[in-house]
Parts: sequence; C-alpha cells; structure tokens
Amino acid sequence: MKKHIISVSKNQLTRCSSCGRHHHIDSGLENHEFFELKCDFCGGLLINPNATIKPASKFSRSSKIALGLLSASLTFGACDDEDEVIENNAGVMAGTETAGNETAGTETAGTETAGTEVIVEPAGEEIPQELYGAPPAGEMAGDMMEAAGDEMQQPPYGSIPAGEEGE
Amino acid sequence: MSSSPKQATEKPNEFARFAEKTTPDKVVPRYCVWEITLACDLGCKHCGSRAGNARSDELTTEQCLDVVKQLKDSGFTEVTLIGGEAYLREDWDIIAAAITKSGMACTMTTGGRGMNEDRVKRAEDAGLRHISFSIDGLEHTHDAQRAVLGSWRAAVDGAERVAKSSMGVSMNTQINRLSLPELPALSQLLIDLGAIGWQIQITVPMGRGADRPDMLLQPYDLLDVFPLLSWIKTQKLKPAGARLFPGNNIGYFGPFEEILRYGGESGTHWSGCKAGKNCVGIEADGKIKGCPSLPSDYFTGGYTHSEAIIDVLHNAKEVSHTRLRNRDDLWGYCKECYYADVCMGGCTWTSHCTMGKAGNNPYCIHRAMEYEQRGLQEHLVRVSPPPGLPFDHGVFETRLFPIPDESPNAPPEILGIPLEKILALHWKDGSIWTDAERRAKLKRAPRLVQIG
Repeated sequence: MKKHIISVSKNQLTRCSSCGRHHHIDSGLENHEFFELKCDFCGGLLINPNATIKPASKFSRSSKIALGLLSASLTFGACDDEDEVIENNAGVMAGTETAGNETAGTETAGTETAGTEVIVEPAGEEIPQELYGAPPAGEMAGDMMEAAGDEMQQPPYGSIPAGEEGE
Repeated sequence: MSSSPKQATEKPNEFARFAEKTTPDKVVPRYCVWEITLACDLGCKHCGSRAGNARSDELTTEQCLDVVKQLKDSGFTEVTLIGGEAYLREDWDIIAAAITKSGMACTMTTGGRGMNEDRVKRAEDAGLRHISFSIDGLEHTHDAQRAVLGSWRAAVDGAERVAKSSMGVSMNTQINRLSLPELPALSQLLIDLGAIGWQIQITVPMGRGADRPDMLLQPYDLLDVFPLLSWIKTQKLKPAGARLFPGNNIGYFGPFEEILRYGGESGTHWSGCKAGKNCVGIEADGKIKGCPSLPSDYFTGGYTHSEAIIDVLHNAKEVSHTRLRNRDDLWGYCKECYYADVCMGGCTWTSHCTMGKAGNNPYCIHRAMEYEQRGLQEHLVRVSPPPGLPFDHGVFETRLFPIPDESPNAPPEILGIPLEKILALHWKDGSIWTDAERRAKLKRAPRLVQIG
C-alpha cells in the first residue's frame, strides 16, 4: 500500500494539496475520509497524493506578478534548471489561485487514491535550540522532515539569528 | 472544520503534548533586543523611535552590566544591540563584551554610517557574532529615507569591512513604496557583499513613518510583495546560499508561508505574536517591553533598574497580553478570520500602530487575497496624525474599494513600474525613482486636517 504523509501543525492546520493554503483538518479521520475533504479556499481535494499545484487564476494580481517573474527567470536564465524554476515557484503559483474561480480537484474521491494510506505526522515537541533561531542539531526544515514544525523563532529586529552565520 | 470528539479520544497523545507546550502564561526567554542609546547619526524618515538625541536618563554602564547579568540568569541566549545607533554609546563594546563573556550570543543592528575600521575591530574584540546593516534601497533611495547623503555608501563600506572580519554580516530592509521595486536589485547587492542573511519587514506607521502615509505600503500591495519575495528567495538568494528572514509583520499563512516562513518547508506557519513569550525589548532608559518595536506608552511593563526583567515578563499585564490574548480580543476582519484562533491578529506592533489597537492587522496577505476574490482592495487612510513623540503613532482606518479595471493583457507592473524594468535594475543604478518621485513619497502629510 502506498503511503501519503501529510504534515499537520499543532494548530491542526495542513496545506491543501491543490492550492497550498493552510487548512484546518481533523487528523482523527478514517483513511478514506481524508480523501473526501474539500478545501474551503479552492474547492479542490484537500488531500490528494496525485495533485499538482494548479496554475494560478489568471485574474489574480499576484498570479500576474508570479507569472511575470517566472517568465523572466526562464527568459533571462536566472536559474540553470528550468524544472527547478517551476518547482520553486509552485507555491507562488498556488498562492495566486482564486478560490471558487477554478475548481482544483474535480476527480472523484477514491478513484485516484485507492490503495493509498494517509499518515498524519504531527509536529514533535519544540526542537531544542542552542541559540535563539538557530537550526537545531540535525536538519531544521529539510525535505526529510514530514511533521509540520513549530514556528521557528527568529530575531524581530534586523539581525539574523546567531548561529546562522556559518551556513 | 474543527477537532471532533473522536479525535480527542482516539489520538490523545499526539497533540496533547502541544497543549503542554503552549500554555498561555508560558515564558521561554530566548532573545533580547536592547536599545542601548537613542542617540543616532541618521535621521531616518521611517524611524519609529524618532531617534536622534540620547535619552536624558539612559542607563549607566553599571546598570547595563546588571541587565546583562539579569538576562543571563533569566535564560536568554542572544542579545541584539540596537539604537538609535548602538555604537554612539561610548561603552557599547564593554556591554557587548559582557554579553559575550556571560555566554550569550551578541549581535548588532546598525545603520552603518560610522562602522569604520576601528569600530569593526572593537566589535570583533568584544566577541560580536554578527552585524546586520540596515539598507533600505539603492543608493539614492536609501539616502533619501535615511536623510543623510552618503549614508548608503557608508553602510555598504561598513558591511564590506565586517564581511572581511571574523563576524558574519547580513542586511535588513524596510519594505515600503520606495524600496519595494528595488528589492530584486538589492538582493543582488546582498549577494555581492557576501551577506548571509536578509531580514525584511514592512514599514510600520510609527514615529516618523506615521508622518508619511504616502511612503507606506497599502494592504493590497502585498499581492505584489509576496510573489516578489518568493521569487527573490528561490531564484536569487537560495542559489547564492543566502537566507531570507521575514520579520514578524510579513504574513500570514499559505501558500507563500511555505516558501517565506522560517521553517515553512516543514509545515511551520505563523502561530501568533511572540512579544513577551520568547523575546523582550529593553529601551535605553531601562523600559521593559515584550518586543522592542512596541510603543512605550502602552506596552512598558517595568524598568530594569527597579524590577527584575523576568518578573516583568511573567507578571506585567503590558507584557503578558500576547500570551493571554484570545479571539474576543480581536476585532474587525481579524475577529472573523479563518485563522483567528491561531494568528491572533498577527504582529501586535503593526496592528497597534496602524489601527490604534492590537487585534486587527490589515497588513496580511491572506486578508488581501480574500478581499481580492471579492473584487475589493483594502486601503489605509490616516485619520489621526501622531503627536510627534518617540514611538508614537497615528490612527488609520481601512476603506474598501472595488479593484480598478485593468486589461488582462497589460504587462505586469508593481507600483506602476513594469516588472521588466524592475528586474533589469542593477544596484549600481542608484534608484528606480526620480528625485521628484522620491520627494513625493517622503513628503510629510499635514499634521492637522481640516474637516468639512
């Protein structure tokens, strides 16, 4: 059985698979119930292992800026790897999707998700940090860390966290 | 959707530990931002504290060293020295050395006008880990905001000196209607300087910033700001190994948070103002606040020379308000927001100084996006000027207007400037604005407005 890990913060928010916005979720649902959840913002499936972030609504102002920036990146070669450009901008694109204007996930719940188990990983206890805002020993927020982390502290007043200097 | 009883009974342990960690009265001292003098060698037109002259009753060296001891004993691990301009205090490096010697990390935020060789060496000798330079745009834009010709060049020269030292160097920038279109070029400056981090925050209408409403971002400008910042982070800074640190008034929630929030890739999101929870702000006369930026008159919980800092953090209502805040304390849009119970109205400083009261923060990308979906733009209009005192603020009101019609085929632009021009700008170009445009944006609004 395939596994699909979702990150749920201590406030029980997860990111929508379709539009990337934070969405309340009841992590105690049965497996099949996860796949029936719809996003309040975009109307798409909240949990969708097969989802790719939909292009932004062309009517959104931020989408226009994001697309312009993406275009500039590709045109002027700001990034060597075009695939990476698209991936890195995925969140930007998602953010510009206009809820209700485009239904992100129209597939019937279950057809694309049969045989997939949803694993909810809550954030662990607050990660001890030697210095305020510094990444803890190990990995701070890398791809290996599926649980939604607590918000990392950082100085509010200009200086970056001590301990970040060597990175 | 809310938690069901089923979850509470079937999975009690996975989330219960968070409840233990987030009791509303919990204080975990970590970080102190300390204004050691209000004396300043710049005259920044957005300065919230209206810095310039030293306070008449600034702490003595002996009192400062006692503050250091208190901070260490309370469990703080990092102290950032600010001003005014911290280095204008003669004993600044004595204080810095005491912080370092106590085992806490010491950093400094500076305008950098006088960060000469001697001061860089003194900072290094005192054990400073890091110095962050405030740079608010390209040369002419920065100088206009900082009100001193040559201040940009001095800051850049100072940053280069620090970059060559054993200390780390970073940059911090105010985002407003002057600096916004220069951010991509400024990011290249940061990379070329060898800076490793960039902290950004939205200019808040506080102090001199409240005198100049035309300089401030409008809430709907965030629809431009967030994709631009996301692009800068992923396409400019990340490949260069530099980090972006959005300040506490850059938010809130998805989808940009995944890219911009510190730790956002792991699902981390904004979870409320941190003032008085992990951080403390101290003013040069010993005032203790939950955050250094908060207005002194409303948020001072005590004085370092008459009360223990940790006691003030725990007990003073002026400091504990963020820990005790609940949905009933919110108002306006924020009270009914989808994220109200988590967000609690975003940055207290921003909300209080803009709207006159915490708990309703128009500088929010989620809010701007939601209004946009309804075909609306939220505008800020100043209805009351600030009185002209340090850390003061005026009062603004929000007004909703229909989004102006725009041709779908019109090229993308920010503040009326084509995106193409913004991306073509180089930091050596000096400014994207003409002199007249800069003057217009920095013009003081009339203090008194005739009604009727």
